[in-house]
Amino acid sequence: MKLFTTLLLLTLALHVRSQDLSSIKIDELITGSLEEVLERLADEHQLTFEYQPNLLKDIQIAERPHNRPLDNFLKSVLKKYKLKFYQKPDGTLHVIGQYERVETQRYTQARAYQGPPKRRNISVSGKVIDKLSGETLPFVNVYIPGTTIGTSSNVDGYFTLLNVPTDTQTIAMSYIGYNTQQIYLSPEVQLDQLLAEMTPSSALLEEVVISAEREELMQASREVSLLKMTPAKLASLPSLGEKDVFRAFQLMPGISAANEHTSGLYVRGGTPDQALTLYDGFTVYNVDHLFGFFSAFNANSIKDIQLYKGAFDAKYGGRLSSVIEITGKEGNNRNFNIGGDISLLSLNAFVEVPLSERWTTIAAVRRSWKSPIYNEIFDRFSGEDEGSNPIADRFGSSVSSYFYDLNFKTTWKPSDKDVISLSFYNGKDDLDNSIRPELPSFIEDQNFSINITDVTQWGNTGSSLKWSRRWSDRFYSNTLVSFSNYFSDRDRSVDGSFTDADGEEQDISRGTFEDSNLLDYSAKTDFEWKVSSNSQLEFGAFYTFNDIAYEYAQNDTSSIIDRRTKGATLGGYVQNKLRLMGDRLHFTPGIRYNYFEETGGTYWEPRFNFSFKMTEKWKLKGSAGRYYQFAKRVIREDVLQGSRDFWVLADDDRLPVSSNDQFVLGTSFETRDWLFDVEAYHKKLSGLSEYSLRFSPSFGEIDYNEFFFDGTGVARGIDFLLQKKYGRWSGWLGYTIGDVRNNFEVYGEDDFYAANDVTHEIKLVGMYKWRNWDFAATWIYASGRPYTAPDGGYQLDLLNGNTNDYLSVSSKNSLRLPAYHRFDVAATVHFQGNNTSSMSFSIFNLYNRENTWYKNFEIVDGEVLSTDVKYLGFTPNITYSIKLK
Amino acid sequence: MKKLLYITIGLLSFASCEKSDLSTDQNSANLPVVEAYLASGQPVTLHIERQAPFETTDSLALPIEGLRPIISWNDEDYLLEETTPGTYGSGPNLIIQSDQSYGLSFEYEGLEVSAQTLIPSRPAAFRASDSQLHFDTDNFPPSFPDPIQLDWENPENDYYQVGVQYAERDTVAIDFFGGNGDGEDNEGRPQFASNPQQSNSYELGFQDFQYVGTHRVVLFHVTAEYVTLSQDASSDNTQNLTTPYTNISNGLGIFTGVGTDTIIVEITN
Repeated sequence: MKLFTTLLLLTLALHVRSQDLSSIKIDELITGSLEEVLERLADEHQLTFEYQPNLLKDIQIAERPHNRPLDNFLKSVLKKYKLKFYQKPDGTLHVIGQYERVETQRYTQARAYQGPPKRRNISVSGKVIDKLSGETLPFVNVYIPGTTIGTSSNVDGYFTLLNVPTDTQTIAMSYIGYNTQQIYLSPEVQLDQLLAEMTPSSALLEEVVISAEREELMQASREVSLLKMTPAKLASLPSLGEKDVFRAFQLMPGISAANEHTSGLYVRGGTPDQALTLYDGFTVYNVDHLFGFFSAFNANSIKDIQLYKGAFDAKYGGRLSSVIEITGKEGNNRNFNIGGDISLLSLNAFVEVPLSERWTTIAAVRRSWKSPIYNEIFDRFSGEDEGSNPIADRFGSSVSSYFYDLNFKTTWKPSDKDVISLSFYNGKDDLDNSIRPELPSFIEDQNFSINITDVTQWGNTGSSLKWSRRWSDRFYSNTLVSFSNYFSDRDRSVDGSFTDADGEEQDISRGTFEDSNLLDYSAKTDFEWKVSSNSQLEFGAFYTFNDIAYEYAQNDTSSIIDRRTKGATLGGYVQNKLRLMGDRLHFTPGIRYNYFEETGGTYWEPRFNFSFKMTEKWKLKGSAGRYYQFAKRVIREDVLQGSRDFWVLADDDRLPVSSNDQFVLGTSFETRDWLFDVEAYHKKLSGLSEYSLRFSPSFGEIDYNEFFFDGTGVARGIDFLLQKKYGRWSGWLGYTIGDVRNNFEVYGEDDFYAANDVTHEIKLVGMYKWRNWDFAATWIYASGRPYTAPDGGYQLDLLNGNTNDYLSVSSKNSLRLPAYHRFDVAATVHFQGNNTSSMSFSIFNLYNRENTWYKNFEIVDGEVLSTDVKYLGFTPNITYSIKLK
Repeated sequence: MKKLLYITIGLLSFASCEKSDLSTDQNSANLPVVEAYLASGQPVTLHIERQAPFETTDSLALPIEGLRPIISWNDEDYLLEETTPGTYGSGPNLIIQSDQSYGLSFEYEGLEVSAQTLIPSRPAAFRASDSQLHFDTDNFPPSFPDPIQLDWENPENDYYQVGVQYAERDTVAIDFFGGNGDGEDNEGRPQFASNPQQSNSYELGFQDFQYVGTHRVVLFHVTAEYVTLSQDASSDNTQNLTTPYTNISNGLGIFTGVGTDTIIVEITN
């Protein structure tokens, strides 16, 4: 404020309505001092300019704009003199130095209503939207500065503030990736239909080059264990071909980054299947593209992402470790928009069509192409570079492989109170290594044909239909029906036919077929009831029906495993978000009830979380709760043939229902620009399942349950985060110390380190903004993961004359791989013009660290040898993005 | 800031409570590897050796000499003699009988190594639909012969495995395959083996043979422990390495029984 008062503001014309500058066309010759020119423009077009007079001193201009739009003209003129301007919400045009930092509060307060209030102790409600696209903004922090009154908008962008002292108050809104916005109440304003428009900080950057003060990529401090991300800012991070929300989350402490082979999130010692992934309300069961190098979510269709590293509300359930809630974009409701990206991995395009003021549609599609990066990853995973297939060499096989995904969402708002939206997602990976040999013609004549099929496919389809209604300022409901399917198939077979001596046609069909298919039909309804300004009651009910099938067959006829489990999980929850002690203490007790049909059991999950403001900057926070999981994923790692995974439902026999008793305690110290955050967690896990092929004969009738072993575990650790939130330089240092121990009777009495145990993990993320360039660098260090190595090996002659190699094994996970580390850099340049476009250059693993993925063992000449299989080395990438708006 | 430090220390102690014992390395490198197939109607021969060590060339996989293995059944014991280094046999004095349980025990490096198995019966009523398979290679293009159907009785739904061995010293490739692959000293060399299956029949097709001449078709009646071992998906990387199946206590490998029957099949062209 001191700085502000030293500014001498010259204000021309008193009250001017905000108007669209691009509609004003300037044609005549403009000469004179800049100050005179601005005065003239203000007079002619009823504009208001604000500037520091000495800033414009001695600047003389002579320009002929040739019917240019005013904003465009001003921008180019001011730029010549290292100046810039931006338009304030009231329409005032503020001219400042090119690198000057401006706080929105400084000028907007001047516009607050000055007269006496007419109404007191009122409630105020409304909707928050994106100024450019008209999209509603969920989870926006809405508050009255200088008081403890505050709330956040719901998933549809609605908010209600209760107990607002007067109708002359200023209301502020903050949201990650957007400039803090203020709106001013006055006795004339209708208090139940406020419309707050927020401007994305990245858009301002391009349009008006305002300083980067409100551009956070990641926000970590709001609630216990909650992370928020701005998808729009993702592009400036280094990427391996594709901007990826899951890879970005892996840069935060508590989420392991040393797993290049899966996009799934290892959160605080949990495994990816312990993380609940919701996309517009439906559950996504597999998040991997291209063997896991990329996540299945297209950043262009995402509006908001929240990740709970633990301590999640009673509203969410069915998983032990974490929740990722993704809200898809609704689409621009003002203008038609189209855009896309091309990178060394994929093509990505989206289109936004406003069908009417109340009806918006967005579609986004992405497909990989066989670029050098794609091939590099493909070869590493499919083992194509390790020895070749003799049959393929002889007859020639062409490997075809791709992935694609598609997002579609249409949103209809039949009234101011209702929102109905339909969201659809479909994605698939296809890997075809089949051989169709061209046989010599005499064999063809013999009517002999043979085909070798080797096809692996997996994918997701999901859809949700949602109806939300704001019944009143205090009562809101959200009802949803959804469908989700995940499939994973493998066909490795030889088939063909020939004509035998008797002239009869004989068919050959040998091979293995695996089909895994998961169906999820869900319905749920959530209610929010603002009982008072310090109590918000939330409750709801849910129903999920799972139908999970896994079939493993040989020779097309004999089924080896044919498992199909179906079952419903249903229940409800209630929780109360309390604001106590003059809003210093936020306390949310809650309970969730589950009935699980397969076991016939009832499962209660009591939970609570709190945050306590010790001082304005210093907060204490914590949570405790119980979490159950009924459906789990089983992974059969198979490096050369691609990993196979399938989901199973717990049955309380060999596959118990998993549970997690979790405690989180933390503190954060936050200033305007900096955040220091520490959270410690302790999880006591039971009913864990491990899948082992140890006794998996590939013949005869198999008791499927023999593959599973159950055990318990403890995961604990501390996440540290030091973040520079805003400014030309921003970024963070994250550090996690943790340990995950399991105890499975089958491996002995003692505990052993879980395969995903990482002792130390450090992440350093730096971002720098220079003119229209964004630079970013990330460095990741993680202690080596545990592994089991052979003590020795031996060979046995079998009755059929074969000799099999066997490795005898040391204690489970008693050894450690070398530490994982890598350094990635990226530079993004934003082009200004009629369209918004940018070009990103990025280098993955700059110093070409050879990180070990796993070790391979073989017995050679009476000696057991190991070889390291490496992750990706130095990999450059380039991405070009363009969009109309 | 001091308070912050205290809280951090407090959190550290919160997260580090509850210590537990971690598994210590139980070295399995010194365990002996036994390979013993006891066939009904045959004397005992078994082989015992050391494991190949991991990433050292100090001592390669070597036979273990000087052991005193004892075969026991029905309260009777028989001490095996070392015939060649690491190979121990009974000679004709001990003939294995089917449906009888046998034990093995010996002492190695201070540990009592032992195992137990039940000898499966000789396959019953093993027969083939034809005793020869003729490849008509005179005509061009060649034609494919009908397969040989093998049958046996399997009332208990036990595991059976079919193996085909070449029974002549020198091999002559079937003309159909282009005349290559003739060789010498191939007697007893396995040509083909099926996976163990709980069945009572098998079809031997033209694709199962490579050479003309006399072949032995052997039907093995095998135990579940053998099946488990032979099919143990011997993983070879750190992602899912587990100790392979064994039925030897304080040792590795297999001590199992097998019942066999043989049929002779002629391949001509």
